[in-house]
Amino acid sequence: MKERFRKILDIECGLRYMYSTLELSSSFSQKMLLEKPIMTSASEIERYYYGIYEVVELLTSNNHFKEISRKLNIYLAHLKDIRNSLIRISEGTIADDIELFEIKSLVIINQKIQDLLSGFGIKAISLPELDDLQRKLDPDNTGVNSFYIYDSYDCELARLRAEIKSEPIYNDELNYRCSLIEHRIRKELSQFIKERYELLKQSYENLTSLDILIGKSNQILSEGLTIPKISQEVMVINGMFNPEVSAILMKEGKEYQKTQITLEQGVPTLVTGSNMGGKSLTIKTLALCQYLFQFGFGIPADSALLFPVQEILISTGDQEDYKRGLSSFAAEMVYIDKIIKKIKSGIVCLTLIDEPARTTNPTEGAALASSLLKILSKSKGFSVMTSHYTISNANCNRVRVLGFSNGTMDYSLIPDDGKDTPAEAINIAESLSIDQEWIQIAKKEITNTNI
Amino acid sequence: MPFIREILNYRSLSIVGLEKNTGKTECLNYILERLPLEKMRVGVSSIGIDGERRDQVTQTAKPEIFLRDGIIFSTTEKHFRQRKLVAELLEIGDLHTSLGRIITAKVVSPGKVMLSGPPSTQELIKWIKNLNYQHNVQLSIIDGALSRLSPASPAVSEAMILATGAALSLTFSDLIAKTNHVVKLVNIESTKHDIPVELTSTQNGIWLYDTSSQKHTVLYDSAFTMNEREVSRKNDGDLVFVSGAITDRLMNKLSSDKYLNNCEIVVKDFTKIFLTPLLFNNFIKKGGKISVMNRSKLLAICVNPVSPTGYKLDSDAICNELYKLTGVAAYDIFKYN
Repeated sequence: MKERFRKILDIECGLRYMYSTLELSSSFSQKMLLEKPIMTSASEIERYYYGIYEVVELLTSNNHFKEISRKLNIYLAHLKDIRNSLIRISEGTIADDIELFEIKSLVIINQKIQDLLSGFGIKAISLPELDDLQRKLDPDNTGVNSFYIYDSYDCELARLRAEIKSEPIYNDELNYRCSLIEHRIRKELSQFIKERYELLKQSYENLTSLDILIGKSNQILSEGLTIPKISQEVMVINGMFNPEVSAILMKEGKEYQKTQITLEQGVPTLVTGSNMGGKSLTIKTLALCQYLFQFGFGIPADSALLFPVQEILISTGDQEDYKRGLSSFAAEMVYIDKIIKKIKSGIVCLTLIDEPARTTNPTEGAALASSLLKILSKSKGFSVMTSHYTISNANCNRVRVLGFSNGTMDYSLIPDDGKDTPAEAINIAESLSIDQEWIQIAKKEITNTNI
Repeated sequence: MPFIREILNYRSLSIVGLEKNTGKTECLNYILERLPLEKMRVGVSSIGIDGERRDQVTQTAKPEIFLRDGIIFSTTEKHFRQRKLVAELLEIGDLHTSLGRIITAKVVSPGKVMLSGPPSTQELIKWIKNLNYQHNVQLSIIDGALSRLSPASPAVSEAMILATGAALSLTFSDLIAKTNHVVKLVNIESTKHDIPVELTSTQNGIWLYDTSSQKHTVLYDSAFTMNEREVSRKNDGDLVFVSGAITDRLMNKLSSDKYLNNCEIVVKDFTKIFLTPLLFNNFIKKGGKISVMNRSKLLAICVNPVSPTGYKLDSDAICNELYKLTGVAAYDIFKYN
């Protein structure tokens, strides 16, 4: 069972924020997006991004399309979720006037959008021909979005209705005869719709897809995202940023420092560096990018070369579960154990582990972390691990947060030889104006141990 | 024909009753039958559930709403399915009520229908706007439900008709007094002072406003937390603006305060006044002044002399007495129907 968008929305990496900045015209499209399964095949993702590319191109360079996109939004806003009605009709139920009205609305939206889009040749969207349905549901050819069992469906019905109107009081017999004819007409219409069920399904699927494509494309343009390229073996993200954090910083009048990272298939990447250097944020943003990639969104980076994986595994080390009687350490171990089992089963995944065993003593913690790195190096996929511990002789790519220079934090990730662990904790604590006595004693302690 | 011509001067009308079974639906049927539909487009709906064939509380027979062709009506999915008329479906709203979504349709062939419309005043305001913009409706009529007066707020409808009758009280004098009290509230004069928009648009708080310096200060943040008064200087204002409802407790508080008891009290409209008749009358007798931002236009009073249990009062006497006391024309619609 593939993961659906709804399920991963609240993983703490900023997806909820991305979803909140995505503007869709119809709540039905929103529902469809939430139900979308994750894409894992490269060709599927490539095809999807081609559609986004097409729409982004039109939105940026075609003035005529910009004009009609407002109209598109208005039509799309009227899309309603009528899947249940359609399924019932396809199973032979007779539709009532409300359902027939809703189907007619869908048909009209389909036809209007088809007209608007003709000439733009968006390959990702193919709306079906529903002319015969439109003629059937609009027998008087009014073009108006309204519905009832029209007089023109049956001349006997028209005659009876005229008779009812001329009667001074409510005539039961005449009304009964009318209702029989109306029922027969509804039955015929339902049969007609039933035969075109697949076309109607194709219509709402493509219309909601169009809404989502336009929403994602507008998001790419407004949030400064990029359309990724699909890679065969490495992942390279240049100018990566976390939109949620970036928005918060912007409010405070600060600027987000973008970073650059390269991941190699089969070789884990170890990220070290001082506290507050953005290691955890790197892990979260990597998860965000990968999810956005596999759900076909723009990527928050200047450019991105990404690889589709079977599964995204992320451990942030804060899975404490007091209800199950697990301490933060125990919960983390149990969680990482699950991840290891997945890796050993041989699936290609992106594993992101933030400071494993951080809550225990440094000797054992370092041993657990460095051994985990060894297991990660057996993975067929991509893995990133952050740590404060000194981990030597491991087969991995090392990068380090540049750290404090000239009193400001430089978040850049630079290649590292792994010879010494960065010792900036006290400097950082000092910059946070922590109690001076505490800092001074700590400094003394360090000099004492070094002697 | 009483009051039909007057209705045509307004874009929205609500029919509200002081009690269930006071004849709102009869009154609506009376109006709908007589409106010149060939000249205008009329929309009709109800606040909440109404138009049941049988009264849901007292189990008495109730008249159904009869609609002529051309009328636009809104009702919920459930009641739309039970309609006994031919109607062209125009729109399905997004709002989900307990009886399904709200359907707007135009009558093609006349018949009867149950009306159950938007459940809140906010939704009703939207409904009226939508009928006007989307469906060119010139007059929207709201059938009130139960004893709710809220649709009669001038924020919702421009004009109102008040239904009263034996269902409210079987004692003649009591019926007259209760009806008279509501009519008094409806007829409260609108304030002569220009109150700035930033004050009238606030949703909460009780404010002190100075008509000469045109400055306002907050008196209480909310009627629930008014034990501590924020400002108590006499020269801070000569007018008290109540953004929400005025209750007995608030009124007692205001009239017992020596700095405030000479102030004019202003509320948004009469539906915000929840004062017992005794307190209200005493306040007025003592020379207190209360006014509204927007005054409602009461077109007529309709009287149903029959109570749900079958007692019948003398309708002529009620109508005459009400007219004498209030100056508003009162009719026994059942006689005209």
